[in-house]
Amino acid sequence: MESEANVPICKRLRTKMYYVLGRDHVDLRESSPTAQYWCSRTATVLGPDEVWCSPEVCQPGRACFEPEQS
Amino acid sequence: MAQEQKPPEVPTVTYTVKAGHASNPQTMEVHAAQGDLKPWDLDSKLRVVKGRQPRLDGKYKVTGRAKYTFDISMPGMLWGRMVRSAVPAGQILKIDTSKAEALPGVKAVWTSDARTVRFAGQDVAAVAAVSPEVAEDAARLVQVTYDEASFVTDLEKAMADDAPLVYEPDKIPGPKDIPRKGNVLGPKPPGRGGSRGDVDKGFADAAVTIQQTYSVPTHTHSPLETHGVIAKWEGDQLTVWASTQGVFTVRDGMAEALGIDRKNVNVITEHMGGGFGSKLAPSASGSAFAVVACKLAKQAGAPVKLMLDRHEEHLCTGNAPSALMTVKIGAARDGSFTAVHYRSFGSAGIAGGAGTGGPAGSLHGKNPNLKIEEHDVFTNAGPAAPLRAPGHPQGAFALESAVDEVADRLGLDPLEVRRKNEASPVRLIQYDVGAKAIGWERRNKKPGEGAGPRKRGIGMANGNWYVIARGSGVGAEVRIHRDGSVEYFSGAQDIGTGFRTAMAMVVAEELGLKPTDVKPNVGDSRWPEGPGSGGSNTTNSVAPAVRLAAHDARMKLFALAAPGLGAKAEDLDAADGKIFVAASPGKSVAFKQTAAKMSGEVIAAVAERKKQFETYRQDLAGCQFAEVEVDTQTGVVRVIKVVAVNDCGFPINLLTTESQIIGAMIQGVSWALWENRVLDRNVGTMVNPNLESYKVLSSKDMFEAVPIVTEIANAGNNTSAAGIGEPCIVPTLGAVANAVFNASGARVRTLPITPDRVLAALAEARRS
Repeated sequence: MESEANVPICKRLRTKMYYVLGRDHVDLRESSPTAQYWCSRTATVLGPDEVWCSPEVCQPGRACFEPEQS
Repeated sequence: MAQEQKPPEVPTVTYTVKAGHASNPQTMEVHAAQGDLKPWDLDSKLRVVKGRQPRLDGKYKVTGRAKYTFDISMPGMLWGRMVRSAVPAGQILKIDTSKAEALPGVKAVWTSDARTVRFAGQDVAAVAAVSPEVAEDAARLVQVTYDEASFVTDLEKAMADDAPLVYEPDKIPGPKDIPRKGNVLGPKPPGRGGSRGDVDKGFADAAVTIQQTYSVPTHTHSPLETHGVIAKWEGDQLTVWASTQGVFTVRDGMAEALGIDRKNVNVITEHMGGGFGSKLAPSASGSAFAVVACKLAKQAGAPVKLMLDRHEEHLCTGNAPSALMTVKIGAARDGSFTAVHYRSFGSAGIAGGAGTGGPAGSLHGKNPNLKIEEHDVFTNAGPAAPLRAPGHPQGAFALESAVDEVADRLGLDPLEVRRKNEASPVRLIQYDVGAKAIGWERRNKKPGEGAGPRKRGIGMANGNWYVIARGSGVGAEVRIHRDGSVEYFSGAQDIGTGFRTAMAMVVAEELGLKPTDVKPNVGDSRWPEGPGSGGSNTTNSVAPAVRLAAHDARMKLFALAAPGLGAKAEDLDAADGKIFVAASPGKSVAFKQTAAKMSGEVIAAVAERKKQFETYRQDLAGCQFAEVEVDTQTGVVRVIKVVAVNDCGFPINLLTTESQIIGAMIQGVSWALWENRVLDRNVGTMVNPNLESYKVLSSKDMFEAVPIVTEIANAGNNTSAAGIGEPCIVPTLGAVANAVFNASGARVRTLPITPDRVLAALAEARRS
């Protein structure tokens, strides 16, 4: 199993800080206790599989997961 | 809070600045990126910045000429209308749109692919028609068949072992590394401030310990302008007029959801009627309405306007999470804290992010032992969205109420207890300023000691926020035309804060002009990129880029003026519409006369913001003092006065800075006394989805609002601006609750502080 620091996060995961600080300055692997996350495919807090989005759940193993390199 | 990555190393230049507050200046070195300017500091002689400039767009707003998204109309435009789930949980078995499609005037229909309903108000279908009335009729003709499921809308009931599950365990991929039981997720890793020391030892060392639980209901943003867009296609080119806090968020969001090139998407927000955090997503946290509008427009071959109504605004566009917060504080006899344990459960509906531990992590920094535990609790309700210092007003209400209870137990002045535990030199200054402004000495020495049934009292509370700024990917353009006119361009949006005026002041400062000489152009994704307006970052992210662009334009203009003045360009200065030799101000030439010398038609300067550098402090301090009157016979609370003392770095425009602080006090008092989203526990729908029974503060409830800015040369960027939109709401809820206690002796631990709760608390106080 990959270490937490290297766990890939779905490339579709978004949160406000992605656009506030800029994508280069946000580590989406680190969950914020006050942030809502959304999926860029659905544009809401629910992913295509109708489950909520967050760094902890938008990881490999989820059916809709898209790796960064694809 | 934010999840910031370490920025890349860049070549730097070192500046020595006089930072901090004028009463206690601190000389410090900052390492700016090469090419950046020395930050304005306590020695800077500013002519325009920090002044009081009325909004440049004020006349357009008060005369109705300012065009909000809601106001925009165009030939052939259709009206969109969403169909939302009427039930809070279940499966969609069938969506029958045949009757809607057959209605004359209906031009397009959309249905959701989702089949699971998790809250009442979820997107199900949509229509576009020739008028809003036909669209509404058509929406009503969409027939949805559900297989309803059990649900839970109440925070505490959702925590029970036998509560209906919002997410079925077998369908959840994880979550990894976070405990989960039923609908409860957590404790989550602590945010900023985190935990420190050994709380068990700290409580063992305490002379007194208090532990109380406080609760806050879900609060909706309720901006004047609801969420909405107009989507227009011209071939592959999509233009979206959006009521948003992030034109670039919407641009990227539409491109990604629709699978099109973002270069083919243009987003415009000329004026925006409030968002308070709810408009930071591409559509809304609980609705893809903007994407749907684009799809309807494509399908119909016509522009589609889709503005949500007030009912929808309450259901699916976000809210501030409810919270159940238990605070345990141990203290020595002199009021010094020995330990704080903060434990919260909050519900962001079907989403996460209901943490409220930020204030506990940042306030009372001398406390050596701190433990924060935050939990999310899923409920069948619309998802939260950031709301003006997410989680902090709730957390500060609980924490600062508990601090007041410690002071009462020890028989100490609550202000002195806060001083005893204060680590911020800025807030220590603010304590004196605020106490003087409210007349702290007038407070009841014994709570409720005033004569008669109407009792007055004074309370206070602290708040905190963070310096959040985008250090790259933000640009600005300044143009000086040959006729001497000046304009600037920033793609970032003015969400009602006065951003466009503040940036004009920065340009005017550099060019020696009046702000009214500068034409602002903001809120268009074709212009230099700006951040989403969240985290109180817009001014301190964009102003440094505007200053750089204006400075570049200034130096180009100075090069034209220098030969005639017999000086070098770097020896010139500008003020009052003139360019002059700094060492000999009598040698001058008019700004317009110099502009006329340019060989072309325009001097254009484009700049990108440089990295954020060392700041005087990384936190933004604030505290508030409230005076209230409590009718002990009816339980009605009336707020008399609120004094807000806040740090925002350098206020670019003091007038609109104060306006933001006043707005926060109003929103905070409204939150403390009235606002309460009520979901029907039997059917799962919202009982008060309007502004009639969802109570907000009205003009007759208005109080004396006193905004005080403690200017701090923050030095984190070339303007020393640091942000104000959010920090000024954090203390209000707690200050009002503590004032109610001081007035009446009634400690109300559940918001809103309604008459029935006041009377119950008075009865409890009499019993004890």
